[in-house]
Amino acid sequence: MKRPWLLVLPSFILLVIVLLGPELHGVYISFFRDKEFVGLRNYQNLLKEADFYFTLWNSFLFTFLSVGLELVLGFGIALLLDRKTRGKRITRSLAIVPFIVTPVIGGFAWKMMLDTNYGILNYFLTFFGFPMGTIEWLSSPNLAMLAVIVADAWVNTPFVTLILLAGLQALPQSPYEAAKVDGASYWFTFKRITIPLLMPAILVAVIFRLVFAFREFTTIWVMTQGGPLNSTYVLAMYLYKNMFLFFKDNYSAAIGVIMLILTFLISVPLMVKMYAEIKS
Amino acid sequence: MGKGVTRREFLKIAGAGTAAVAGLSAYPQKALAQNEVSWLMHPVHFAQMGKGELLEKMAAETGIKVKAVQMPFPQYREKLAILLRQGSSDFDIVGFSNSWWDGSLNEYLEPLNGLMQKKPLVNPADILSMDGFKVGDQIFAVPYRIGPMILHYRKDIYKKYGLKVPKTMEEYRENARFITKKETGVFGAFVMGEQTFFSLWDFNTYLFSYGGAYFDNPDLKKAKVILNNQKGLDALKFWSSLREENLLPPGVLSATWDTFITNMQQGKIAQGINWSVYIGPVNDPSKSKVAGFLDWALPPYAEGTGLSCGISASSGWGLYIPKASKKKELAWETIRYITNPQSDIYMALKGGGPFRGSTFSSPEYKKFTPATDVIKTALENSAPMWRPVGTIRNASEVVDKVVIEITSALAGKKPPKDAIDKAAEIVKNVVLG
Repeated sequence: MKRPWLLVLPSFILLVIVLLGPELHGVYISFFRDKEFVGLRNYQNLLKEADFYFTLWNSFLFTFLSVGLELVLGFGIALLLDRKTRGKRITRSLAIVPFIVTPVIGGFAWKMMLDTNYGILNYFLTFFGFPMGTIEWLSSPNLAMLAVIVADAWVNTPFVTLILLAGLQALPQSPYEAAKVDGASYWFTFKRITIPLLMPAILVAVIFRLVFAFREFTTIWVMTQGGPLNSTYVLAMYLYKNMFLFFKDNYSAAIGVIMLILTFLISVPLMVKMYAEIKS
Repeated sequence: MGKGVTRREFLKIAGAGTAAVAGLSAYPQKALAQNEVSWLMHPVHFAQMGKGELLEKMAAETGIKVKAVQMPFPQYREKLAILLRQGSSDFDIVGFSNSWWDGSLNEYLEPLNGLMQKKPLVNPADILSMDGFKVGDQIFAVPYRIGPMILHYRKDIYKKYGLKVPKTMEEYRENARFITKKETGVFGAFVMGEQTFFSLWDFNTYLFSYGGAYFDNPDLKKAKVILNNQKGLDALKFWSSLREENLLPPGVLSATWDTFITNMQQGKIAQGINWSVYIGPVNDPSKSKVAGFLDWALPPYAEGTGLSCGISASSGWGLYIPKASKKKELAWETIRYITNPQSDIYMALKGGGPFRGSTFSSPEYKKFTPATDVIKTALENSAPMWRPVGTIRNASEVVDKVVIEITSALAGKKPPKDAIDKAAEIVKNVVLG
């Protein structure tokens, strides 16, 4: 075919309109307030708001802790699923079940499980001597963030598992055979062969999860609505409240632009590293 | 072996499919008839109208048809705000609660005074809690599902220990202390402490029952914020003392109305001040362990206030007409019908929150719910959410920030004085400017 790009052009145009259009509109309205052009004033006001920094901190905390947990768990599960065992297919299917549950349902399920007085987790803890209601998972400012991180990790660990499992299954066997011949231990093999070879897949999983975790809203909103005492109040929630509860659409557009910039800052260095790894 | 799909065939199929989808989605929705109004409502409200039965009855009697568009909360709230700000004429009637309504959206709503003068409501003096839907002299809505905060209590526990129904806050707390100490696994009080408008609603009953208020004047142009006067401080001190003294079940900082219902049903709390509309669920024998063991009373008041009973915030849903509506007269006729005495009884018997004094006196409603006199008296003594004002500008932002302060006091993270002073400052800055 002479111009193969013509075939994909309609889809490309549609994608540009659907993806870029709202983004550009968001950037545009962030320079206005009630139809009056105000330049960078929305951004200046945003950078003066204590709530912005507070939610930014919570977002970073949530992002790095939940992605860290997902990476550790996802890697472990992927290594287990990579083994040649009976019932592998069923185990793999079960491992991805949390991923197909919508975040709203997952959030509600965890909210019920972590209920202080009637939750199943506190019920199991009674067998270890903790009376029902001792641990206020979602009512304690110190524990609520941990609770939402665990819930988010439950939903998203299968995603990391799938990517790493695919990566593991694509690894060449010759380095492992050579290491076996040389008498290398499992840990040495894992550290010096598996991880370096799997680095591109790890980076793909991390980049995706960092971007999505930084923008996380649904699970946290369902479980805690940002409380108690703002302990789980993240940036996406700050944007939502300003847009839909306070009706400050221009100001929330500015928050959205800042989130976009921060997402780039988080993901671009990792993407550069990923491409370098692939090339090497 | 099959031939397979060629590139040309694939493109033809894809193109035809895309055109079909685009065509179907662009197909215009059926326009409303001349005598038809569109109403955006919550599914619970459709249910209280007999799942459309009341609307069919209205159509038969008046010739006015209603296209009921149902949407669950919070999508309802988000869509409504966007529609109003766009000046959309998609809906002629919208219903929403004054507990979460933002007064800055009132400029997109039709004040009803003019329509009321042309064609008054049926027996307007009979309607309770109208003040909650006013801004100054302007009436923006007619209530159609309301419920005050009342005291729910376990009469069997009261009888067991010879406790009296508390009239004052101090008596309420004394009962709470006694029950928590004597009844294993049962707590003497309940508070909604989640970081949402629920905690503010809960606190407001204590605030008003202490004689407190947000402003000293219903005219906001002349008003000063008095939330943090001695009455407000005493109310917050009392409210947070309930947790301090461990009179509340664990998990109070994530507790809302459904926590109240569950705790009451499970027999975990012996007393609680909450909405009257939950009498049904807590007393439902199919779900509640304590059905038949409950009774209800007016919320307590603080001593020295001169009050005869506690005052709850008049909360509930009202019917509004968007300014952009092209059928305002027809919408008003619909509202007049839905809020007439017969409709109120109909909806009350379907689990709605009655808003007319006559409904509470009706034999049918008295048979339906055991606490009619209590609910009626509580409603008659209720006050607007931002006492003495109905709705305020930027209410959502005020609620969002004030609840942090009051729940910080409840959690023991901030002294009540600091919390209420900061809350008052927030109200002053955001509302009065």
